[in-house]
Amino acid sequence: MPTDLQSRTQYLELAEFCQSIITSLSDYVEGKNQLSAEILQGAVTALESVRKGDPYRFGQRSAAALGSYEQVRTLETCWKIPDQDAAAELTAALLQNRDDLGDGKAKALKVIELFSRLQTKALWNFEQPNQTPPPDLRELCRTLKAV
Amino acid sequence: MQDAQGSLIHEATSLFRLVESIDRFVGEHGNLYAYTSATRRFFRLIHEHSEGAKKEISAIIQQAAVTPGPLASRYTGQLLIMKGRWKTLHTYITPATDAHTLKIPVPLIQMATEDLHLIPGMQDAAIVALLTPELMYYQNNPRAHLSPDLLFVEIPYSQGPSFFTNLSIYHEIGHWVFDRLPDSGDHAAAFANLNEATEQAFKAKLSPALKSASTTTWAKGVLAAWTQEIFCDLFAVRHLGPAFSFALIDVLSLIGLMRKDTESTFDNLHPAPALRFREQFERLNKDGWWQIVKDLPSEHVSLITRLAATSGSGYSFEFQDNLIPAFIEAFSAIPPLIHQLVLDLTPHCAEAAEDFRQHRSNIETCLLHGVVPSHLLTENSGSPAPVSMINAAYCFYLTRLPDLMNKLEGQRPTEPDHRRVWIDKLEAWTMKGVEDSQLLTGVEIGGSQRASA
Repeated sequence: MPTDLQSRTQYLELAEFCQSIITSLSDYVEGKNQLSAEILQGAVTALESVRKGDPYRFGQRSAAALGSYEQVRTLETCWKIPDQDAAAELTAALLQNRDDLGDGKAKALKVIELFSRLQTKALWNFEQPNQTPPPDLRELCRTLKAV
Repeated sequence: MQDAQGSLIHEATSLFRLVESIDRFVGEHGNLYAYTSATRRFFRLIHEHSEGAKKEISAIIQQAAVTPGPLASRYTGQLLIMKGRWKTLHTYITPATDAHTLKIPVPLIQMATEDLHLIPGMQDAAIVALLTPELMYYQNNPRAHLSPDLLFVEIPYSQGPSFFTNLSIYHEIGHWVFDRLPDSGDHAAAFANLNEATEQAFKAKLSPALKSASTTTWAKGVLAAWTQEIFCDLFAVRHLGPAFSFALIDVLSLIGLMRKDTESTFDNLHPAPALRFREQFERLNKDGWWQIVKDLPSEHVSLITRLAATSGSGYSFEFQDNLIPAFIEAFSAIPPLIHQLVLDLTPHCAEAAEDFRQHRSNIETCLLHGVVPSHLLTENSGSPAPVSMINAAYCFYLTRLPDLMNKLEGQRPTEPDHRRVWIDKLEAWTMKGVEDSQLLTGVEIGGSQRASA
């Protein structure tokens, strides 16, 4: 069995996380279901933790969607800061105004587009994993040496 | 050129065929050999899972056909995730079908399963053995939503029927136990203390230097990986005593990772061997094992004694040609809390060293006469615990094999081929002793029935 398989499955967790949001929002846009507070809350929590710069919790479940370096790096590579902000803010807006959504479908379609892009990247990384070091590793070494 | 609908149908059919062929393969092999009950359960789950997957694939095609425009693309994502799951499962099947009961140390796996069942919240754990082409032990999780109770332990195919090196599976089992702790409320205090202390150490030593979410996650992941490795070592040592440390030395030596020039080097996944053996030594010492084996005339004992005396100032953390400071210092406060967590999980191991102290000499006498040590030659001495047999056998292997061979005509302890024969026999006697003990205590050995998948 390939030894990197364990880390590759993390990309599938991320793709599945995206899928749950895409499915829920698509059902809403098609008029099949109301917005799911549980799914939107999970997305908001995960995205906010990335924006705050510290998504990993010691003792977290190993299957967390945005809790590993590979997953967070995938998100940072796929979404630049404006996209991260847009995803977090639009999802939070959908969650907060679930019963009063004038432009809800437009917002939902935008969120679907963002998460579809992230899912495509996650699935690509699952197929073609590319082990990259942390982007600011050298700076980290310099800073730690100076402390 | 295919339209989107045609492309989806093509993808779906290709996945359908993959699922079907995996299910058929498992069904065919499950009836050819005998497997442990855990492996048979895995095969049954694969079959059930494949039936569900095939229905889901058909449903995806139908739903996509009635979904307008761009929203239909969600079904492509769903299909690709399913494909990834089955592609992952695919890699588990041949290693599992190869691991029939003639190719794996069934009594050891049974013993480990029983030990797991003594840990609250893990009473339903089942170990699926896999044979890997790599010369290394692994614990893996297909994350395929099969069953949370199945743990998959990979054993090098060449080591399958042997015994001593396979003691390493206890370390791999430790990974599964650690991964389960967030879902188990039974050890919440010790686990929370460990996580809190790690968070504090991280904030104090590393956090101010970190600028991005991904690098922060990477740095925390390094501390978490080191924590888990030490936990797994201590989990194994707690259950197996010094035999685990001896086996780990043998395995690391076999694959070239037990070298003096790298023994103090951490990488991003493992603490330095020196620190790992230092912590094992501390556990062995506190549990009463070390006093019994410390005078063995063995290089393994000398090596552990030397590594136990190493200190943090000699350690270094290297990653991709970078020497990274501060991480080891941040980690230095963590090991005592890992010891506490392991103790909290394994009160059933408290008396093991005393049983070994009582029975070691008699077990070695049995082995010196080529007798399976499940029932000792001395009257009224009772049967030793399996872990005592294992440790006495390992001590015998390290120090007294020549005593056994010198009693036999034409056997030279300096001749590797002669020596190999008697190591094989020693392992077989030990494994038989463990198996006898399981029979005496009424444990069902799960490998006697054929698969019904």
